[in-house]
Amino acid sequence: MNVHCPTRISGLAAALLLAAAAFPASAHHSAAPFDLSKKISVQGTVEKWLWANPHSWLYIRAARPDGVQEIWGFEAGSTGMLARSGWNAADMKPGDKVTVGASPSRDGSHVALLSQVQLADGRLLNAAAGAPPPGVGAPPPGAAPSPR
Amino acid sequence: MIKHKALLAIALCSAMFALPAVAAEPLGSNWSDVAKLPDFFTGNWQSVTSFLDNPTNVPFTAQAEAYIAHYKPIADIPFAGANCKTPGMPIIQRLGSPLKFFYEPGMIAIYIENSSMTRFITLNGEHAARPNPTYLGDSVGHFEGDTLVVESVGFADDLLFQYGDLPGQGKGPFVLPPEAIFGPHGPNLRMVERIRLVDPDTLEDRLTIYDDTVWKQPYVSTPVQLFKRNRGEDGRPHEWVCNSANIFAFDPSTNKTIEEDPAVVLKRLQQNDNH
Repeated sequence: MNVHCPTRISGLAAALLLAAAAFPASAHHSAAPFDLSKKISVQGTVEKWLWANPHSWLYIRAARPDGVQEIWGFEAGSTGMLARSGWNAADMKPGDKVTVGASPSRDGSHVALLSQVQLADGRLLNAAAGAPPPGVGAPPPGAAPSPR
Repeated sequence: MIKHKALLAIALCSAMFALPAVAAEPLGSNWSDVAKLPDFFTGNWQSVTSFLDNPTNVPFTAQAEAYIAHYKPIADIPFAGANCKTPGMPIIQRLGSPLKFFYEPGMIAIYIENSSMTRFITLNGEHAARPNPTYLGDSVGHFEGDTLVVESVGFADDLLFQYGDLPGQGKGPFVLPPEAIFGPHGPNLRMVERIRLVDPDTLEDRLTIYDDTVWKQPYVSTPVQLFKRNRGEDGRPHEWVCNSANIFAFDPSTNKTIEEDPAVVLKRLQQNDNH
């Protein structure tokens, strides 16, 4: 069991809100469990697509260049938020080949914050933060707390 | 004869005007009020502001100061732990998934997707005489123009109740639990919300908290909570069954976050699938 930096779900929620509100990702680097300034791409085979709350998870088996097999876990949004982004519980099944884009965890473990999945049929599932409602990309006046 | 009828008509009319005026029922009392209410009801409302407060600069009572002197920050909120224990009001409304408003005469209900909990706000009525403790509170509301004013009392003792932020902390746009101070609330805790549309797709919820065991003056919550409207299919609420896969991230008893090796989690999930 590895211990991430201290704000697991809350940090994720904040990261998702940050993404939804289009705030600079760097605003939370010191506290979020994932390094939002970095992106990794992992190709592999789906072992499990878990459609669940508080967060869905995608588990894939990936092969390192030296041939060693690794299991990666990618944390995604809640079922409702994913559904609003066009995702579906039936999008992936074990054995599917996928390429996952994600922000890595800070401690180097094989856990990352999922941002997109390229499916074998070419479809791209995006915006793991959920469907930003109209206007969220440009926060209305007062949406961003004023710095002290 | 005609003269008599005219006199009778005049007398009847005079009597009608002499009747005491019947007070109009306040907005939210009838089905016909649906068209008069501000449209809180189409689609749903997604929080776009921090779920914890920032800044927090209301002076504390001596009792609260004594508590804060020995306060140890929490790594995360119990909602991130097993069973996803609700933080209660007001934080549960702010955790990212949308709110959905419903109306019937004398009541507005708010479904909170982040927990599948629903608030029931009695319109133009009174609090329960002896409200039992709840995480959402006993709520009564009324309209002041286009603003829904909601007063809530009767809260459970173990709300996740934010006093403020730790010194030098909570300056980012989204305040995180280790940056905040949480503590017990007093027996007469009262929350007053003023909810209105800023524009057709933006709803604000201005919150003032009254607890004279914690603050020397009413606590005005900041930032003002803002919600953006989802319409159409995105505006439909979804169910929320938390921790349905027994994956959680925080142990409140040890105040430690948890990150299991994904290979271990996967093995457990696949074993469950085979049963």
